[in-house]
Amino acid sequence: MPHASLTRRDFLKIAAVSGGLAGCHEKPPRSEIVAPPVSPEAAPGIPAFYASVCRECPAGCGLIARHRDGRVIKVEGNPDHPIGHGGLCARGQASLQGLYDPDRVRTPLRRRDDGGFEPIAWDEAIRLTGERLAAARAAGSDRIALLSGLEAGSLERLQMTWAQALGSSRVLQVEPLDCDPLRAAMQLCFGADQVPRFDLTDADFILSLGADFLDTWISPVESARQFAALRRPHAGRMTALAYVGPRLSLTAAAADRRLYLPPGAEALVGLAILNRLLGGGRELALAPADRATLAEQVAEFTPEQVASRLGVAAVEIDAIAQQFATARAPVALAGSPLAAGAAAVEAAAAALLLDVAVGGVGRLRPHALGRSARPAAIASLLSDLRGRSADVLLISGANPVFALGAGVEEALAGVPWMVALTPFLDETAARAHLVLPTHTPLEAWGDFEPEEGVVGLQQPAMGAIHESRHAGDVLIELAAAAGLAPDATFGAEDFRGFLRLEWQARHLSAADPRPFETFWEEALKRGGIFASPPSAAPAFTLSPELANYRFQAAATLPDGVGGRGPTPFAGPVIHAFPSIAFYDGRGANKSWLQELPDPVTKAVWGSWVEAHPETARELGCGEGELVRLTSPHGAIEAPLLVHRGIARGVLAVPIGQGHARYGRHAAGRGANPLILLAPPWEAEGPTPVQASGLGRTGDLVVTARDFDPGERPIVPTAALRELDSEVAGEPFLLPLPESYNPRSDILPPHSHPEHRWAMAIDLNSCTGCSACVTACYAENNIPVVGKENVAEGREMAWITLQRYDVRSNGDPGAAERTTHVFLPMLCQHCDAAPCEPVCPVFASYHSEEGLNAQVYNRCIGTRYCSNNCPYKVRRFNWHSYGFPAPLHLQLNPDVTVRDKGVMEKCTFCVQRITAAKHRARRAGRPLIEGEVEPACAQTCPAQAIVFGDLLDPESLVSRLARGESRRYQVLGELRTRPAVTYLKKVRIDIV
Amino acid sequence: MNAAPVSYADVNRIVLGALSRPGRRYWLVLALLAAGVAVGLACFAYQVKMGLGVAGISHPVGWGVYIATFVFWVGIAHSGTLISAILYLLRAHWRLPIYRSAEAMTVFAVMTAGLFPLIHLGRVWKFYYILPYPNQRHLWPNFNSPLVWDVMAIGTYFLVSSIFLFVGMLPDLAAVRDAATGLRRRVFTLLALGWRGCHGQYYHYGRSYLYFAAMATPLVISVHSVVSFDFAMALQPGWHSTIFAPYFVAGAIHSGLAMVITLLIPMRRLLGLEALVTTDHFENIAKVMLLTTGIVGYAYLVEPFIAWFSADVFEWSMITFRASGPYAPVFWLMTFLNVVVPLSLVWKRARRSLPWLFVMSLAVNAGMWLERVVIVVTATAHDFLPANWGLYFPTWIEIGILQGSLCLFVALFLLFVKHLPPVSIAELKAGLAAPEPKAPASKAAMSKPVRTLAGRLGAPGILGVFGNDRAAARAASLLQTAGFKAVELFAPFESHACREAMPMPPSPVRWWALAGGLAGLGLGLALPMWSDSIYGLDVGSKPHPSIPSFLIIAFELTVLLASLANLTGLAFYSLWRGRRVPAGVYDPRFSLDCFGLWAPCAATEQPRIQALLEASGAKEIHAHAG
Repeated sequence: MPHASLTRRDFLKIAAVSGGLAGCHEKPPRSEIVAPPVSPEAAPGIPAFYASVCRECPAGCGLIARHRDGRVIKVEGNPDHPIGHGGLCARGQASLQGLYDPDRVRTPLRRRDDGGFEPIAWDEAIRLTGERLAAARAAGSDRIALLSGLEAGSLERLQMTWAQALGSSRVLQVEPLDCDPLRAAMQLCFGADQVPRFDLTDADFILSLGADFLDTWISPVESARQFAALRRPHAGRMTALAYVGPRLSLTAAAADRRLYLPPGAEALVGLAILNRLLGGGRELALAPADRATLAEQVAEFTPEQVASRLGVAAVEIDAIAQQFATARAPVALAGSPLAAGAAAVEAAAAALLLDVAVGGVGRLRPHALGRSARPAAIASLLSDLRGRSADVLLISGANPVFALGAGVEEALAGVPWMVALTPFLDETAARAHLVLPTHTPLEAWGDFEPEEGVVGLQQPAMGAIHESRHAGDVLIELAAAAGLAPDATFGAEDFRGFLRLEWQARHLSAADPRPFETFWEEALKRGGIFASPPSAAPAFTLSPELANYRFQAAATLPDGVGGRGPTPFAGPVIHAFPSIAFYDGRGANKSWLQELPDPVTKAVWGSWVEAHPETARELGCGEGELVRLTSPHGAIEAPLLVHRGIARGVLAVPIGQGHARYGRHAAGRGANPLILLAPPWEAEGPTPVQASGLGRTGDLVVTARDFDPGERPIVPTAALRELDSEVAGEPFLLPLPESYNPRSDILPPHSHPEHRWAMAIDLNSCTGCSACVTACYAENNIPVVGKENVAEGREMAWITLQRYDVRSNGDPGAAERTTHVFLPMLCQHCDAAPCEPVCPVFASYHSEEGLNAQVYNRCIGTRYCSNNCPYKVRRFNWHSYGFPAPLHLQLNPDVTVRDKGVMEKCTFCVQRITAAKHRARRAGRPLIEGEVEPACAQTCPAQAIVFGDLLDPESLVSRLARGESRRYQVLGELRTRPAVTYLKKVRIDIV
Repeated sequence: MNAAPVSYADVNRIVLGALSRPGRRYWLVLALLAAGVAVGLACFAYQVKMGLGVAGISHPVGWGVYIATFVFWVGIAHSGTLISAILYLLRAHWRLPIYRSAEAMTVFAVMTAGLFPLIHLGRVWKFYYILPYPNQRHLWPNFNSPLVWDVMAIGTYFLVSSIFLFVGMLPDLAAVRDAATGLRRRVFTLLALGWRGCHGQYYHYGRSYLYFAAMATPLVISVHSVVSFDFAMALQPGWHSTIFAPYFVAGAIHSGLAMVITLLIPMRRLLGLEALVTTDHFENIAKVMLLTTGIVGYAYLVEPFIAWFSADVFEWSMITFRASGPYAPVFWLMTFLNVVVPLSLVWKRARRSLPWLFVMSLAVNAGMWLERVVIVVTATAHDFLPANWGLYFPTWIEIGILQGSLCLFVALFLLFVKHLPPVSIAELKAGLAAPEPKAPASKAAMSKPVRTLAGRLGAPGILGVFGNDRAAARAASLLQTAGFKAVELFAPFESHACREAMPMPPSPVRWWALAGGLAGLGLGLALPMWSDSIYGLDVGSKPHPSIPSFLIIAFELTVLLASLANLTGLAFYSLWRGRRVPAGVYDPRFSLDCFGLWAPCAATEQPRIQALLEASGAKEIHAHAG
């Protein structure tokens, strides 16, 4: 394995040698790391925690950075934060790898004539740009443009102030996945220029028209938590989910009923359901006039007509409509982020109208996504840039060249002086004349307000590791270099000062009686200020314009959409969907995310084209074959991945790969389906593509191919209707002495004097989001092995998400009725663990606290333990894997870095158990229930993972393992007494 | 084709002739084999440097061809001991011309097998952690682990079969010594440990050899049972099976006999042993193979039947995967090679056709290797949870190491057969019908001059030289009857006639063997129990102490220590005793084709003894008056 980097092990060796020479003086790993500005309590070896905000997507979850010895080693959700409630998704967990990305821009760079870059001093870079800015300002108004990523806070206001001071109003925030169709629908229905977030609290039926709210849509961590709460069966009731959309997303997988239809068809189904709802049966929250008008508008969209248009049985749509109409508090969601055209807007509109009709309009709250620039505004700026109406363009924290296609690149070519403020040399920065390295969010001050009243405060969790600067500071310095006085312009010398000024204003408006410093410190510690949600939600009323609108979705859909039934197959349409790992592509250079298997397809390290077996047959292509997709806008090549969880006639390709630049992992890997689409300002609907097999095998790497449990009793499900009557019997053997029966057990019990750690995982809550997987990589120094090694089955993940497709009885093979179960699989810490007795050297043994311990120093690598593990959760180090600098700075000092030849596996985060016990001992108190939380359980947005002490009868895990009717043990019949209790997934059979 | 041996001299000529100076072709082949070994070593070094990921083994198939080949070679090792020990106990005399090479094959196969557990280790440089040695951490190996049982079983098997081979060779080493000159003589003088073939030596030697055979016999059964435990003790569908121990032992003998045929057919030809190793011998081996074919075939049938009958979804899925999954061609080829091909041996013509036997033996060798691959790979590739399933194919590194190991085995065998007696000289002679001595006291014999070789004999006494054992035995009998108790008889083999002529009480070696066995039993129980009591680490809820596990250790140590004690006893009585005969009495012909009877006596008694010797048919009589 090539690893030219300095690993921790190497470092310790060097330190030991040089330490001896230098009188045992051990240097810190990197001298340029300075203690963070707010770390009076940080002491060597003692972790300090800093609250901040995750900026990996616009959801704005709060996070806590664990800081140790000058560096951040882990981030976790902030439990006080109202968005994430302590949860964090895989991308949030991987934000650390953005900070330590080996491919970060380390110094300012200036582009040479040959297209390459050369380092340049900060002063020089500021001076050069300052001169250009001054000249542009002098040349007239609006000669300067600033294209920024989505900011909803002080930096946004600094950008505005900056642009204004320089005589420009051109500040655009570009967020590629901004749910613009939903915004257009809000405009259409309510005349409101907003992107709403949907509050799912209390809903008893959710209809998703292509809205993947458990994947990436608007605020997935928050949605997952809310959804999981709704999915806890209570008194025989549980919220049902119906999904209409093109493919098996995580949201579709969670649904009780799904309809796989091509993109755009959601509008027809939504309107048909609206048609049925308006048709009567339920008292609606609509004025009679509105109701009549609406009914007339959707009159042509009867379920029968729509069903025949789409080639599905009308009863399928009727069933969902019926469910929606009879639910107490149904909610409809729509607006997939990338769909475009009338059909997308109308799908969102149908959902909004359904919500209005059932009185659920109060669920809508304006979200920060609404601050992004509309496509038309971006198009206008680009055309201005083409017309050379701007002298200086600053791009800060955005990568429009990747996300918005070739037109952007060509427009940027006309800019005389383009400056990119970014930590990475991505496709956009590569076009810039000057690249100024900025802090990553974990090094930076800032604030982010995802929705009104929730203001997350960002603080640097550590000193900068490169010569980067804060984007705000750069703007202030540039303004100064352009001849403006910072103090007079911004009221502060630097961004931190500006931020404090902003917060002083907040302090005043909050009418907080405490002095500002107290307020400020409190906000820093808490991670922001979180006002309780306004009791009266903004009341949206139907826009008068709506009455004149004529729904046209049916007309705009391409021929053959539906692909089923009588309509002939007329060529496939493309469905580009945001991947849970890369979002809009910004995660693509993080090795944790590249190695994170897509939870549905299990594919890693590349792109793929999903197709239904029938579609594949129509194309004449087989699994794994490289296919070429061509649209009027471009062409891509990726291997075909065939599965049944997708509508016929649809080719689905995840977004995020296909970077030309950006770094070692992203560049040249996979394909970017966005180039097949028209830019958002031109898009009119689903994009048909030409697809042809290239006759050779692509490099598709998946970590699992078999999803059918067959007759294996490994993922039993429970029908909601039978839940209460179901006996929690079955062979369930607690990993405790009490489960050993001298009459039936040959082996003697062994006692656990103090603790018996155990876990419970609710498969009904688990959405498959895979945050636990990445959290485990971060916590436990799990190496990334790379594509070739994963292809050989050498991935090191200690926890994996196994997907199983449970076919319901009497309806075999129907993808729409399959129950998809995600089974988080990790070491089960069995009480009678089969791995232990076979180890010849006691490397694997049972600790007093019930942990199945692995002693790396003792292991000689026979791999017998792994062979004998029925769960196959042990991971062997087939090579020595490196942590390329500076990624090695992220390594958790409490966890051994393993070398080649030893076996490893989940430890239940034993280092956290130890730390908690020490903490309790020092405080002279017993451990508190919930005090020990493994990384996977901590980050789980759905809070599906519970950890605790089985010896404490009051602990949650104890109560679940002993008393929950849905409890079962995977392979419990092997009598290994696993310490992980699974709770069965609950089926709701929508008839 | 040499004539069938009828005399001791024929045996000497044929066997010692096989040890003639090898030609250039022999060294060329050896050089090629050495190159193969070097390639294997280079592959192994690369694997150690880069990590085991350069091999095809991965997750979930953690063991691949390395462990399969380990099991294969251990299996090969079985037939040597089967032929030399079990057939010895069963007095099956057809074993005589083939058992030496089969035993050598055993030792080399075990040596080759022993490499693979090391090769497959993730951290081979820490291999000694698995050995029970005292260390400052008081951390002993886990005696519950089948891998530790393996170490004990394979180690014991290697030591016992090596000792057995060496002890069996002692008279032959003396024969080579006595027939050789120069460097070879010096080397074999060392190797023969002063063996003189005197009655006092054979008296302990015979007993000792019997005990070795008796102890090696349960080892043959136990070693592959223990190897099968690596799989049978696991939970894996396809491994966890009660038929594995007998199934593995039968398979081991099956493959071992095939390897014996594979090696013997060219060997008898190249070494000119056709007169000794005949078609009858091959037919006998073939008959045994027919039996093992039946057992192996039965096991193949029973496995799927049990899976089907138990209706265990995991087990049945495993079996169908084996028979119809991606490894199905390997599975069916294995069945064909191991069962269908050797079933041809029901025909006598097939059993007696050397070309067919050679082809059949190669087929079974390949088939049995494939069987181990199928067992090792398919069970882990397709176990409980479908999400974990995966496939395995070996890489060039594994293939390189495999061919290196095969080259090593063949090279060791080639070195052996050209440098050590490949057929037991002594036992072959014992099996010959000895020529009946002529009528006693013929004129010619009576008139034979008596030479007094005072200086050579070194002590006062008379040495009679005989051409066959019965004459020597009769003379010994007569001398003893006449009151000369302190006679010593030299023979090139352990003669039944001599033993009857000079009856002795049972050898005390048996007490040594018993003491060693008891000590081994005690140690084998005490060491695991004591080490368990130090830390008492919990593994899989096994009890403290885990007596059933420790019984396996105790069994192996019983056999090991009994064998070592037996060897010590033999060395003490037999080799020590041999030294008490005056140096000059021994004649090199005594290890080849002559028998000697030495009677220490004063000059006055010499005429009487001489007369007795002459009456018994002594060829020569040497006297030393003192």
